[in-house]
Amino acid sequence: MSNVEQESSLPLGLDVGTSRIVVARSMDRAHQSQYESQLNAFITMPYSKLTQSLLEREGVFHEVFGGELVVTGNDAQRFAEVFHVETRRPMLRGVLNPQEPHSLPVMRSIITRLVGTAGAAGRKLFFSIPAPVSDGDQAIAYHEASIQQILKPLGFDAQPIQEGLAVVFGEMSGSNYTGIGISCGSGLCNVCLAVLSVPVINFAVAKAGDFIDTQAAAVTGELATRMRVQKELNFVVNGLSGDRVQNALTVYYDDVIQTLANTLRATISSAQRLPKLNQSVPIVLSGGTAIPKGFLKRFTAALHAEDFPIKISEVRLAEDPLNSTARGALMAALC
Amino acid sequence: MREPECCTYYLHDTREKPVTGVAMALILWKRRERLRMIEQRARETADPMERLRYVRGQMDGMAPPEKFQRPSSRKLAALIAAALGAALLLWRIS
Repeated sequence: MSNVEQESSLPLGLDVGTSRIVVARSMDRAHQSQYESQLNAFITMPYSKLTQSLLEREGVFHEVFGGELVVTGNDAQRFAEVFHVETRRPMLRGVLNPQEPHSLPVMRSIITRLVGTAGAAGRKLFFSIPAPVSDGDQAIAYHEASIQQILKPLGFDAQPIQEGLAVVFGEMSGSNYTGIGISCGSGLCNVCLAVLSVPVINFAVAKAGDFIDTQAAAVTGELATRMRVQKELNFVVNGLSGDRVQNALTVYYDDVIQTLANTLRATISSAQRLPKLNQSVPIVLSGGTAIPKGFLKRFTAALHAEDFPIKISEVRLAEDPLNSTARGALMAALC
Repeated sequence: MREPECCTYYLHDTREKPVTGVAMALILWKRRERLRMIEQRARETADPMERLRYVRGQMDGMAPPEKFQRPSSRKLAALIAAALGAALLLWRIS
């Protein structure tokens, strides 16, 4: 088998996130991984031959859906900035956006662009799915089936993996895959307590990056997109300052951190079938929302503010927070 | 409010679960020993991928306690005892 053929039959890991879709590829059997991501967003424009040829000439990834030109992925952000419009999102709170008619075709377009066709029939691919949120039904089954519908025609043997468990797989080899993996994304914070790779508790908290953006935008009168840009530029979660945007972001970051810590404590305390854990377990934070400086410190403080039902050995940030879930999904696929 | 999803398939030695009788205590002890052995063996595996493969393989092999089955060695012992008993009975009759 040639190198190219071998590469095209190696398993893939896919992180289907509300904000970004990331694919992890194993480059060889020595476990070197390569990541590629696309923004999970799009913008639409009225169809015209002139615009289409312009997009083609510029190499912009686009498709025609029902009389509209739809620009998806990273190019959507670029165009949104040029035209001063907000990008539209095919996913909301971890699952397909029910209010967005273009959600499925856009997801198909982005996923197909990232993973391509399987090459060899039945090529293994693990994709992330969210955990249930405690205060509502998110139609996870529909979301999961839809992603399967996208991947199966491409020739993949696609299997779902809970996002929190993927973080455990990707980051916790040192503790034999025992610990709490938390993925703080845009739509949700997904949490999984696993013991020796077996998921014991899975849940999600509906307050995450999007919540911070929309709430901070509402109180400052700014666009949510601007809040996101501010957050990604140089934001530090370190108390109140003179800047009102920074203050608003800090307030809602604190809200997310407190909610996450309290829900984690309450869920583990009330679990009916919690195993006896003789040793203390690590907590690993991943995802874009956990990246700003100060998040880890505040989260650790919130955890230690009250008694925690199990012993914690350490709380740390993942080595590569944006790619942890895809890496874990790839590891599951390689097993 | 929806309950968080809890996996139940092997980790049944809970604080709430009452241990009934010596047999149950023995089962739980054996299970804990098995977990300890898996942990120990996994630590000896340096490669993270191999470690995950080993741990998952071992954990997937764990029988769900809800459908607890007698260990195969006990089943075999019971079969041998029954066969010996039957042979002894036949010998006595003849």
